Amino acid sequence: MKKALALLLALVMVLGLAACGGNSGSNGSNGGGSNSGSSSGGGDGSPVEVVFWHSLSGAVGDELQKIVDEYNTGRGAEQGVHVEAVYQGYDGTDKQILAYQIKDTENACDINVGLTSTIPSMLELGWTVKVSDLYDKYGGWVEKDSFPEALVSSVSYQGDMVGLPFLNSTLLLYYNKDLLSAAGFDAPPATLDEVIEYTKALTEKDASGNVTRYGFECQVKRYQLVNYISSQSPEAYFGDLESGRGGPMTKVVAGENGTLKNFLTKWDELVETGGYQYVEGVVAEEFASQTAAMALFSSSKVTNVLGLVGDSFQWGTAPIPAVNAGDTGSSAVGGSTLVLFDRGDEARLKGAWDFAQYLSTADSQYRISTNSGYVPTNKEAAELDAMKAFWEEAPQYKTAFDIVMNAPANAQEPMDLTYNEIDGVIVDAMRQFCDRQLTVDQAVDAIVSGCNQLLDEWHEAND
Amino acid sequence: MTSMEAKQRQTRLLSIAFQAFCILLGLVLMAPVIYCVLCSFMQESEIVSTDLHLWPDGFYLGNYIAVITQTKIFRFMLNSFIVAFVSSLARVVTSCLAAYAFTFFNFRGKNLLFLLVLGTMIVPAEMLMVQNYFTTGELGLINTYAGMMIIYLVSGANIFLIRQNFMNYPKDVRDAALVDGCGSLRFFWRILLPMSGPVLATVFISSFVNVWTTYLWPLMVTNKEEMRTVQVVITMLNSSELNSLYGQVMAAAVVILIPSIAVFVLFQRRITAGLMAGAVKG
Amino acid sequence: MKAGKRIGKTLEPYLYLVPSFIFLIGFVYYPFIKNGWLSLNIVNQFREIREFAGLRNYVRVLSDPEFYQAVGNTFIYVLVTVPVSMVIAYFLAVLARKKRKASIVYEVLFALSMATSDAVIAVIFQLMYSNQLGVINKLFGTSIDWLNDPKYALLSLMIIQIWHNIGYNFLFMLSSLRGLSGEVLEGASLDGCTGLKLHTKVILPLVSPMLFFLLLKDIAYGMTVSSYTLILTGGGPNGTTQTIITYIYQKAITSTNYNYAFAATMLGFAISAVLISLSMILEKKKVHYT
Repeated sequence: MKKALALLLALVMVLGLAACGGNSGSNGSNGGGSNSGSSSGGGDGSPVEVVFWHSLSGAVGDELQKIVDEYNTGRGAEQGVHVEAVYQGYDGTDKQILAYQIKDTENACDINVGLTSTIPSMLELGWTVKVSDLYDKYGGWVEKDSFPEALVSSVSYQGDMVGLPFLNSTLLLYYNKDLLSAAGFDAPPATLDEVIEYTKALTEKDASGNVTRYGFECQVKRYQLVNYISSQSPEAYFGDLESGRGGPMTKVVAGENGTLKNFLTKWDELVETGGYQYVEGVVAEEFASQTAAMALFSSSKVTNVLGLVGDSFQWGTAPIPAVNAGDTGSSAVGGSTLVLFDRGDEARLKGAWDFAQYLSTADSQYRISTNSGYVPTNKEAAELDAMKAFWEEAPQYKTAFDIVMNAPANAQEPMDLTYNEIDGVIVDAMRQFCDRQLTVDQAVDAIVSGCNQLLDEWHEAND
Repeated sequence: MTSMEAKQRQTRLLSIAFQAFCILLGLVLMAPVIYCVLCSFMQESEIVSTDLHLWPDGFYLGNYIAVITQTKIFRFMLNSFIVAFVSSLARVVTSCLAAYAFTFFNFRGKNLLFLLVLGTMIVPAEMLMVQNYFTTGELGLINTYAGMMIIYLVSGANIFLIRQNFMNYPKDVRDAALVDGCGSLRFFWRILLPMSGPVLATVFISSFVNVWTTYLWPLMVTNKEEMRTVQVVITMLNSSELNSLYGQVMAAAVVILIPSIAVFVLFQRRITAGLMAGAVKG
Repeated sequence: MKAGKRIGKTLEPYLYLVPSFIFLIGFVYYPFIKNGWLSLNIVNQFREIREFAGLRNYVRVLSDPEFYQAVGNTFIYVLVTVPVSMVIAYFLAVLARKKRKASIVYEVLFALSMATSDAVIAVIFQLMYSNQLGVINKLFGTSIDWLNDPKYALLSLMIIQIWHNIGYNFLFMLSSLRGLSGEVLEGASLDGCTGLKLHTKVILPLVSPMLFFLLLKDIAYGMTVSSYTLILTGGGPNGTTQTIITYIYQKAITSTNYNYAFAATMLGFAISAVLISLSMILEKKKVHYT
C-alpha cells in the first residue's frame, strides 16, 4: 500500500514537472527563434512573412537571394509580403513531411522546392494547395500558358497542375569538340551505336593498359534510366498509369514494354568497349579535366562546366544519343517544382502565391537559367533580348530549352511514390551491370522486381 | 672523459632525432587538416586541377571572404557553442543530483530506479532519434535551442560515473556535516561538489565534445538558417551539386576547426587529467 | 511541523531524481516503448496505424538482404576500427611516454584528431578521396574511386574513423602509461622483461581498466556510427557502407517507410545490447583493477 502510494506520488511529480519542463523549454526558445512571433501580420500593416525553402547554393543561390531581396523591396513591399528564403539542400521535402506529421505549422514552410516525383506524397499533406486551385481562386498575373507544355505536364497529377515548374532540366550529352574533331568526328553522336563507335576512337590507354581518358562517362541512376526509357517513343513509360501521373503507380512497365531491355542491350555493348566509365558525382569535373571526352549529365550544370573548363577546350551540348536510330521520344523533363502550402493563414498563402509567380517571370527565369543551366520555365524568357544574346554567346545553354519545347507528353520523370528507394534499386542494379556481374536479363529482372516489391509495400502501408 | 662526453652527445643527438621523428610523424598524421588549410587558400581551379597541387599559388583569401560574408558562420558557431555549453552544464547538474540521491540516501525503489538508469546505457540514443524527433516536435521545440539540447540533458552513463566517484566518500562525512548544522543541500554544494572537481570536469568536457560534434540531431530538429549548427552547415555547403565550392568548404572547415583546436591546445593537459580522473576510476 | 519535516526528508532523494528521470523517461523509455509498439503495426507514411501486423515487419526486415548487409558492415566496422585505432594509439603513446623538450608539440599533433568533428573530417576526406581531383590518388598514383567503388567504400570510411579515434585513444593511453610508476617498469626490465614481452606481460595488464574503458566506448560509438555514411556515401555503393543506424534513418526519414525503420530499430537495439553486455562480462573476467 505504502509502496504503491510512493510510486504514485513519484509518477505525479514526474508528470507535473514534465509539464513545467515543457513550458520552460518553449519559453527558453524565444531567445533562439527570435523571428517566430513576427510571422503573420497583415492587419497592422506589417508585411506577411512567407517562408521559402529552396535547394540552390553557390552562384545561382546568390542570384536567387538577389531576386528574393528585390522582391522584398519592390513588388513584395507593395503587396505587403516579405519572403524569407532558406537553403535546405535536398532536405526541404523531408522536413516539410516531418513537420506535417506533428502538425507543426510554425516550423513548416509556405513554399518548398521539391522534386516533381514527390508530388503524390505532397498531395497527401493536408496543407498542400494545388496551383490549379490557386489560379481558380485568386487568378494569376503570370498566365498558365506562359509555361512550356512539357513543364506543365511535369507538375501535373491526374490532370491538375499541382505546383509551378521551377529548376527544370534535361539530361544532356556534353562533348569535347577538340577531342572529337581530332578523332575525325564533326558532330556529336546521335545514337548509342555512334556513341560506341566514338568511344572506341576516343579512349586512350597508357603503356600498361590503364585507361587515361575515357571516351564516355555517366552514371546510371533512376534519373538517367528513365530518360532512356522515354526517349524511345512517345508511348514508352517507366511505370503504369502514365508512370504514376494518372494515379498511384502500381508497377513498373519498362520491363514488359521492352524499353528497358532495348536500352540495356546497347549499354551492354558500350560497357564492353572498355572506354566507358560508370562514375558518380564528379562527372562534370572529369569532363572538364578532359578525363572523359563525352559525358551525360544534367543541363543544370552548364554554368559549372563553363567555369571549370574556361578556355582550355571547345565543347558543346546535344540531346542524349538515341537507343536506336529512328527513336521518336525525348529525354525526360526533370527537376523540381514550387509547391505551396496553406498554414492556416490566407494572407500568407496569397503572399506565397504572389512570390511563386514572381519567381516564374521571364526576368527571374532568365537570371536563374543563365547562372545554372536550368531551362527557363517561362516561354517569354526566350524572347528577351538579353536571353537571345546570351544564347548566342553560350549556345550550350539553349539545347535543353529546345528539347523541352519539343518534348512529347510522356517525356517526364515518373511519379514513383518511393523515389529514393527506387533510385537505390536502380543504382545497385546498374552498377552491378556495369561491373559485369549481371547480364542484361538479370538486370531487367533486378530492376523490375525490386521496384515492384517497393511499390507493393508502399500500397500495403498507404492505401 | 671523451668517451663519456661522446656518449652524452650521442644520446642528445639521438633524442633530437627521435623528437624530430615524432614531430614528423605527427605532421603526417595531421596531413588531412594541413591539406584542408592549404586548400582553403587555393582558387577553385587550383583545387580541381588534375596535377598534384599541394601548395597554393598565391595567398588567395576569396574563400574566407565568401564564407564570412555569404554565410552566418559566426552565428552558427555561437549556436553550436550555446547548445554544447548549456546542455553539458545541465548534464552535470542533473547527473550530480541523481548521483547524490543514489549515493547518500536510502529510499523505497532505489534499486529499481538505479536499474532504470543503468538500462539507458545500453539503449543507443541514435536509434531513438526518429521517435524523439516527434516528441520534440510535439513539445513545440523544433528550431529552438531547447529542442537541440533536449536529448542531451541527461546521461545514464554520467550518473553512473559520478555515483562511483561519490561512493569514494564515506557516508559519515555527510552525517558529520549534517550534525554540524550543515544542511543537506549545503553539504552538496559546499562540500561534495568542490571535492569532486575532476570528475565533474570529465563529464562536462566529454559532454561538450560530444554535443559540439554532433550532426544528425541538430540536422533533424532545425530548418531555419539562423538555428543551424556548424556541423550541419558545413555539410550543407558541401552538398551543392551545381557548383564545386571545395575552396569555400575548406575555408569554412578551417574557421570551425580554429576554436576547437585552440581550446584543445590550451587545455590539453587539463583535459587529459580530467578524462583520466573519470575514466579509470569509473 | 515535525511531520512536515519527515515528509520532506522522505521526499528529498526523489526530488533529486526528478530532473534526470523526466528526461530518461521522456527521451529513452517512452520512445523505446512507443517504437516497440509501432513496430508491431503497419503504419502509413504519416505514422498512423493501419492494422496490427504482429511480427510481419520483423519478418520483412529479417528477409531484407540490405539489413543483413547493414548489420554485417557495422560489425566489420567495429571489428576493424576499434582494434586498429587502439593499436596505433598505443604505439604513439609508447613513443610519447617519456617527456622531452618537444613533447608538447607532438603530443598535440598525435591527439589533435580528437578536436575535429565527424562533419568537418568527412568533407575534408571527401575531397582527398575524389577520384580525379583527390590528393590521395595523385600522391599514390592510383585511380581508385574510393567512396564509390564497392570494394573500397567501407574501407575508406573505416580509415576516416580510425584516424578520428586515434587522438582520443592516444590521450588516454598516454596518461595511463605515464601514470605507471617507474619502479614497476624498472623492476620488470631487471627481471628480463623487455620489448614486446614487457608490454604484454607487465604494462598491458596494468593499464587494462583504461583499455577496457576505451574498448567499451569505441564499440558503443562504432555500433551507432552514421555520420560518415550519411554525409559521404548515403549507404552506397551497393549498400556496402550502410550501417544499422543509417538503414533506420533512411527508411524512416528519406523513404518514410516506418514499418521497416521501427522493426529495424528494435533489432538494432537487441544487437547492441548483446554486444555491450558481452563486453561487460569480458570486463569482469579480464580486467585487473589495482
